[in-house]
Order: sequence, then structure tokens, then C-alpha cells
Amino acid sequence: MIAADLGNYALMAAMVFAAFAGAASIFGTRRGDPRLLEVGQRSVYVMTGLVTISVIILWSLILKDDFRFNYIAGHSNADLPMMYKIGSLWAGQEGSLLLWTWILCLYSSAAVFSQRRRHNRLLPIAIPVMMITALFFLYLNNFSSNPFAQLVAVHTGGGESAWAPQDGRGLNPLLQHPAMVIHPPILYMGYIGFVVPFAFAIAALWTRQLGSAWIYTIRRWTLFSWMFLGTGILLGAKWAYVELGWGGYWAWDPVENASLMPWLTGTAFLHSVIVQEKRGMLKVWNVSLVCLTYLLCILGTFLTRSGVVSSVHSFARSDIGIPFAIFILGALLFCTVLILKRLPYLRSENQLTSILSRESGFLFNNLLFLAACFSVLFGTVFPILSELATGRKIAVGQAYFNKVEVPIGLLLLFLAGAGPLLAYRKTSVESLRKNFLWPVALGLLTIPACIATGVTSIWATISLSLCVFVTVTIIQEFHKGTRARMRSVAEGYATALVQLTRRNNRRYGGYVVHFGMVLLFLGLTGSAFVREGRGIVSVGEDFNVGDYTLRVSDVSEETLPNYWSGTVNVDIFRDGRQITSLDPEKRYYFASEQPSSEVAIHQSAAADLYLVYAGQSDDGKAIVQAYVNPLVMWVWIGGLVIIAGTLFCMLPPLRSRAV
Amino acid sequence: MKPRFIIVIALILGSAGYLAFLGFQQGQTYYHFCNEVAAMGDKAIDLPMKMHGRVVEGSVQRDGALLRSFDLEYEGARFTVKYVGTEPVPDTFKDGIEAVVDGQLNAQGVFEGARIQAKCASKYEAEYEVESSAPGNTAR
Repeated sequence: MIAADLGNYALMAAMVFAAFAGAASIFGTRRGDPRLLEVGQRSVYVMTGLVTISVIILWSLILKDDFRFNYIAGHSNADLPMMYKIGSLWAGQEGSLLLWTWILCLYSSAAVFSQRRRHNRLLPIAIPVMMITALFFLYLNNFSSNPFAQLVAVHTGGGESAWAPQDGRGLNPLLQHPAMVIHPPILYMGYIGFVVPFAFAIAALWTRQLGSAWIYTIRRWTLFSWMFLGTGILLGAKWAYVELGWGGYWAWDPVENASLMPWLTGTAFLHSVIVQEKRGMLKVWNVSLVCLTYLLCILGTFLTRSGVVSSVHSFARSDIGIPFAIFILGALLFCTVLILKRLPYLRSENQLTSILSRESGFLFNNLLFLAACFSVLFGTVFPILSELATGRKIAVGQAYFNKVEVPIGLLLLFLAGAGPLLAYRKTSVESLRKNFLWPVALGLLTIPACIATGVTSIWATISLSLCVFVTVTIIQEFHKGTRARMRSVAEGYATALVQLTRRNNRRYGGYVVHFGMVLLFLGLTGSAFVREGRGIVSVGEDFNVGDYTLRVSDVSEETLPNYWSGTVNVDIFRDGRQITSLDPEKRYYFASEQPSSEVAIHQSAAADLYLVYAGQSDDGKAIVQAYVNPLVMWVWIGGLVIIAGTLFCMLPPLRSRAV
Repeated sequence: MKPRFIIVIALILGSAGYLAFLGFQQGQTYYHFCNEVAAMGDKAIDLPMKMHGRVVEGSVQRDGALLRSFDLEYEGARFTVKYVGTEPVPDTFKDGIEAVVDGQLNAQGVFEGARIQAKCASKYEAEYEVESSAPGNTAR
């Protein structure tokens, strides 16, 4: 059948062009042949075009409800709203792997295009690295997990024939949520984006050009990918909060951890390269961190898809794990050997002289992020390790992750405030006194304030105190910078502030991002004060959770074309006055025989009131589960601030006029 | 690198390692399939663990919308699970799905479960019934 054949051929031809692009680039650079190099670059574009064709074909088959295809029958149905049909392209394994390949191709083409004209000695080696990655995923697309596989009816008398069901199974209703539709592409734009910095790092190692050139080249790529990865993680958390109905947004589930780990090393890398640019130090750290980030991205894809770790998110168990394991181990070996061989070129240009220096701050930063990453990795893969060693799978609970990651996170928060106050080389006592006075004072004052307002959790107190500490350092930095500028240029405060930030967008954008992290930590701290309650109540009765009184005013049900819905109307009272009314809903989708909860949330800066309608008891009473989640809103606000800060960092620097 | 650095680094890594060790002790639970639990015999009684199995069709007992109990089976071994948790059961929970229950086996051989984790069915292993052809056909 034509469309499927075209799709298949396009994917196979893409493999050919990927291999060709890599080979042409390698031979082109060895022989110094610019035409070969150009052919190599063009082949990357052709490969991208071919994969794009197969994506378009798959999309059009989905939109035309062609249920002859296993993938489409499994993840779409005729009545599915358009937005979810489009999203069903990446709802299951085959389609999402195709999306992975497509985004990788687009990134590779963008990288080639942006680097093509400069006499770039890195690009001819970066291309083969990107192409080898592409070849691996194209191999999966073609042979392991082909989205164009068609349904076949096997006759008992022998023989097979093509067959299609009347309607597809539809998209899992839990995934029918806008955040879930964009979560995979955004997360992938983060994951896959790190292939580009990795490719250029390998190219730098290979060609022994280990100054800062490769770092400048990839700086914006890294920021861009990092931003998308972080956003993807938060979107997943937001979806879990709103859709899954267990009242939380993070459970240290293996698939969640899989996305967090590259974010941790990626963040470390973003910071660590600053030291290399300014002082020519931490070179081994930098190449190692970028390689680790790439490997963790591939590992993350592996953990999510192979079913090797038990997770609510896992896709069906498959034997796709073996090619992944081979690829990751091979890449790990290659990176290790290459870095070891290039150690002589990675020597620091300067030495660490004082603990109280910005360089050492960055060093500790790296260490803490790495410790966080490895502890998460250990906890995530431990069930596999224990099974291999003792034959018994041992699951590591949330207590492990929280116990280790909370202190590390708080130390990192501290560094976010303290680091920028330290000077390169060595910070004088005078400078320490001046810069740390207000932040430390106000931070310490927060502690009795917390105790006075009844906060009993030590970690929450420390967290809030650090939030204040870091916020004061940030305000102080903006103020100091503005005043310094006002002294040298005749500008008012507001103008000086704007000019200052615009001319140093990297630094001040970074402070905005740090402030976003403070807000995020504030939101996370709220989880120490969660209250929970359940009421089994008739209409007119009420029950209490925290400071809220919840009264059921109505219970109703309704049958719609594709689902049944039961709703309970709950009036919310606080201090005797009604503040709002919430209508949590329970649905049952016919096509997939799948129930789902439509949670009702009342958001406020202080806390979320989160209601789940669990159905009715035998004697017709409504079962309502209620959670009071303090400060959750700040997690999402913090995320938005981080995005804003990162975008500001990515602005091109203003050309300095004579000021 | 100055000795001071080594000390601080050792302190950081050491503390992290210690915390990991503590958290690990607190958090770990054995993870077994039903048949493994059956094979453990009396040793499984009162041992906190996660048990993985498939929900037996028709075994789910509810009190209205509240889950009371259900049977979990794997490779021939079958246990009745009494749900003692307060949280609403995950939406994906129903007959035939794979589930992991947090709890322990009591002396009467009933597994008391406080938390249920059900597999997210984002990939359907569908067995289609073919209408027109001869009986016994399955599509794949």
C-alpha cells in the first residue's frame, strides 16, 4: 500500500543519507576537500527531508483514520478530537521514537546551517557524531519499532491477510489533556537538543581544539535545550498534578527521574563552562559533564521504553532494551577513552587558590549536582542491580530520594545565593562582610519568624531561610550594579537598571533564573505541610480538611457520546464564609473502558485546595478526597520565571557603545 | 589542590553517601511477583513488600466506589488483597491490568495493601476479534 511503502522507503533512505553525511564529512576533512564537506552537509538536509516526509505520511494516515496500521488503531479513534489525533503521533512507542528521530534531524540541520560558513574545523566531526546517533534511532524506526507496521489477520487454516478494525482503541483518556499533548515534544526538544553540544564537544576533543571555541559555539544550543528540558519536566509534573488525582506532582518515579538526571548534569555544565571561559579551568569537568548529559538523555529514553524498571509510566515491556544498552555502553566507552587520551590538552590554565573563590563555588556546584544525579541514578536502577546480584528485586522508596536530594538541593540553593558574591581567585574578608551581611542577617531572621508562625519542620525552616537569603543577594546585586552604573553614567535609577541588565543580559538573566528557582523551592517547601482528608457524605453534609469546611450541595450524573460523567458539587467554606464552589468529576470513557478523575482545584498563593470525586458508596453517599497543598502555585510561577530569565540570557549582547 | 578542598569535598560526598545509606535503609521494600511470594511460604508473613501481579477478572469487590478487595495472580499463584488504604484507587485500576500493591501478607494469607500502583496503559496489547473470517482467528 502506497503510503506505508513511501513512509518505509523514506526512513530507509534516511539511513543511507545519514551514513553518507557522516562519511563524507570525515573524508572531506581528512582530505581537505571542501566539496565533500559540502556534500556531507547537504546530505544532512536530505535526511531531514526524508524523515519529515515519513512523519507527514504518518500524520495524514492518522488524520484519515486509517486503522489498517497497528499503531494508529492502537492510539487513535475516529471520534478523537483533532488536537489529540495530532498528538497521538507521539502517544505510543513507535510514533514517539519517530518523533525523536525527526527532532534530531531538525536539530542536526539547524546546527549544520548555523555553522556552515565559518571555517569550522569542528563541524566535520560534529556531523558524524550526530549522524551516528541518528542512525541508531533510524535503525529502531526501521527494524525494531516501525510505525508503519500493518495489522494482519492470521487464519487458522494458514495464511495471512490485511485487516483493519472498525474503529481504533483511542487515546488513553489520561493523556487527553493539553499539557500531555505538548509534553513529549517539549521534553524531546530538551533531551535531543543536547546532542548538538555533545557532538561539538566530541569534535573539539577529537581535533584537539580544547580552548573555549567549542564552548562559545554551543552556548546558545545548551541554554535552549536546557530550557526545554526543564519546561518539559515541569509540564509533566503539572499534568500529573492535574490529571492523575493523587494530590502530588512528583513521585521519584523512574521515568520522572530519567528526565531529571540530564537536567542536573546539564545545569552543572551550564555553570561550569563559565569558569572555563573566564579562567580556563574545569576543562575535564566540562567535557565530562556534556558527555554525561548526552548519555543520560539516551539512558532516559531507554529507561522509559524498555520496561526494565517498574514504573506507572513505562510503556509496554519490549526487547528494544538490548540495542539501547549496547549503544549506551558503546558511547560511554568511547567518551571515556577519548577524554582520557586528551587529558594533556585539558590541563587547567590556572589553579584553585582559595576555598572562598568563585571558582571553588563552581567546583562545589558541580560536585553537588553530580552527587544528586548519581544518587538519583542509583536509586532508579537499583532494582535492576539488586536483581542481578541477589535474584531479588528491591524497590527503593521515596524516602530514599527525599532524604538525599533535599539536603543537596538546599546546599545548591545556598550556592545560588553565595556563589555570585564570591570573587574570582580569592574573596577578601572585607568583601565578604559587605556582601553577606544583609542576606545572612535576613536569612537568619527568617528562622525565628518560621518558628513563631508554627513551622515545625526543620527542613522547611532551612528552606525558607535560604529562599530569603538568596532573594536578598539577588536584590542586592541588581541594586549594587545599578548604583555603580549611575556613578559612571548620568542616568536615573530606572534607566540605569534597564541599561545594566540589557548590557549584561547573561549575568542578570541568570539572576532572574535563580530567583525563579527560589520560587520553585518555595513551592516545593509547601509539600512539607500537606493535609489530607476524606469525606463520605450525603448532600447537605460537610467535613473538614485543614482550615476548610467542605459541604456537598449536589451529586449528579450525565452520559455524553464518548463518556459517562458523575459530578459532585462542593461548597468551600473558610472562617465561616463561603469562598468558592468546586465540581470534581469522575468520568468513564466507553471506547477504552477507562475511568478518569477530573480533579477540581482552587488555587491561591497560600495553598491549593484539591478535590477528587471517588464515586459513591453503597448507600449513595459521595466519596470526596481532599488535599490541602500549600504553596504549590509557586512551583509553576517559578517555572515561568525561569523560562523568562533563560530567554533573556539568550538575547544577543548589545554592542557596547563608548560608555 | 589544597588539603582544605579535599576535606570539604570529602565532607560533601561523605554526607551525601551517609544520607543515601540512611534513606536507603528506610525506603527499601522487597519487590516480588505473586509466585515468588507464594514460594517464600511463611517467610513472607508480616514482611513489608511490593507485590506485582495481574488483577483477576471478576475478583474486584467494591462498596459502591470504595475498593474493598481483589485478587492478584501471577504464574499460577493467587492472593486475595484487602485494600486498607485511604487514597482513591488509580483510574487505570480494573480487571486484568497489572498492578503493584504496597503492603504485607498477614497470618491468614491475605495481603493487606495500603497503596496500589496500576500500570499506565498507554500501549495497548490489543487482541482484536475478527468478525468475518472463520473462528479461531486472531489479528496481531
